[in-house]
Amino acid sequence: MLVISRKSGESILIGDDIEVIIIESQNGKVKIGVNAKNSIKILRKEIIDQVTAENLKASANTDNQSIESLGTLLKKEEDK
Amino acid sequence: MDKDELRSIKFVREIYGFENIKDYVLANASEKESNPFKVLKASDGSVSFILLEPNIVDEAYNPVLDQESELILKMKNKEDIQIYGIVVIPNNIKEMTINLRSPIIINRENGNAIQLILQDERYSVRHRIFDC
Repeated sequence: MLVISRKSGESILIGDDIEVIIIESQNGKVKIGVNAKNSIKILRKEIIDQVTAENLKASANTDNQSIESLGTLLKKEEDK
Repeated sequence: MDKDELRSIKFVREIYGFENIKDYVLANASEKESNPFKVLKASDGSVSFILLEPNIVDEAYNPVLDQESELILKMKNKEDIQIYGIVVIPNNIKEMTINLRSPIIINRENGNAIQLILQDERYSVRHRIFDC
């Protein structure tokens, strides 16, 4: 892994199209700006872990018996 | 989708955590027409998910599809897009949640699908379906 020290206001370039700017660093928190094309997906890494965990949970319980009652339950909720 | 209709779905960007499974079948979860739940089942039978249209729980739900996703879905018309949220059903079904942050997007025209993670942080990974 490449490790670079930067001060607030300084930036690094990744390839030709991605600029990562250190906006401010305070109390162990770093504010980062990213300049990139719209097609570049930028996500907090935790969100991918959360989504994966939810998907695993969702796949573990798809017992069809409960689906009939769920449909009825949802209907009741909407009628309220 | 008509009642009892089975639809082949190909994930061109896979469901997170299930990257090795691309081919699924989408079907109504119940024979009752009033039941809005769908079942997304891997063609090899190894896994299945329960899906729900997000608009049923959030009328204003309107995720933005990025260009890259439109491209890999080979989307021609916006009207061809069908959106579902994956539902988690815990033992206490009143605590059932739907993932609004990373919906399943299907191109009805060709059956291509992706799981999209939205950048919009207003949408929750665990949105409660029932208020109480």
